[in-house]
Amino acid sequence: MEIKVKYFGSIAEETGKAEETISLQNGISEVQEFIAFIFKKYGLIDEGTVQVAVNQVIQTEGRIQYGDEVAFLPPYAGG
Amino acid sequence: MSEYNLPENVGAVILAGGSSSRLGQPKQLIKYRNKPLLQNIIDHIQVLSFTSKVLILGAHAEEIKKKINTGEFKVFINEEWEEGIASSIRKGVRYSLKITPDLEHILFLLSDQPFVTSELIQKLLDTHKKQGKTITGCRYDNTVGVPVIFNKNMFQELCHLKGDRGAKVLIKKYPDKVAAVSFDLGSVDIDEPEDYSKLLKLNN
Repeated sequence: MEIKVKYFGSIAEETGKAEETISLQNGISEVQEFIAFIFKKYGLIDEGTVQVAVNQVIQTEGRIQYGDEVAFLPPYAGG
Repeated sequence: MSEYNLPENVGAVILAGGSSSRLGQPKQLIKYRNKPLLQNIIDHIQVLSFTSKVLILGAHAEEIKKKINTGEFKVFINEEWEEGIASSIRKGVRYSLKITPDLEHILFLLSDQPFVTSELIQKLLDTHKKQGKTITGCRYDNTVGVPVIFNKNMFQELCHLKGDRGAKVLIKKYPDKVAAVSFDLGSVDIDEPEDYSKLLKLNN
């Protein structure tokens, strides 16, 4: 299952990239699991301030599906 | 309230696509004077007669649409809101020109500056008309920022802004083309819970 992932602001600096496509394995099917996966992959520290949007909607729960776009955003984002 | 006499052919754009994780709720909906912040700004602009009124939403768009009376504003969703304020500025220019192709000026406002009033905007418009500069903004904290009016000469450059770099980039790039009105409380914006506490104290 392929998920498009985007990183913005300070998060992009930490991951060293603005976007990538990730092929999911290991039975990840929940947004929360996917967030944990990315945090682990890049050694990100969750201070409860990173914002996550799935298909442009801020959310941290629910299922993740093929073709979804998941964005990791700094505490203040957008405009 | 009666309508003010404004310079002709000015569009108003409220940029309200952002999100802050520290507030625990969409900042556009934080209550101030018994109304959401965004409703306050809409109501102040509503009494002025602009050629077009555009509201750009992004984060929390559906929730905001349900809770805000957008009145005469045409609402557009910026699906690129995550990129930063530049994406909302670009959309604001393009949508305004779609409504009024020969628009001559655009006023940009944010949803989280609680002390913006129709009187301030009137003063900004008067100054823009009288001084005839390309850009007229508000002076606070030794800088010039939003709310700000851009002449059409700048529309192209506004459409090339990227990321979280907003109108200030052009204000700094063209200091000779900028006029400003004083707006000391313009520095009060709401990103943190502490900002909100300060706001409530200021209001008392």
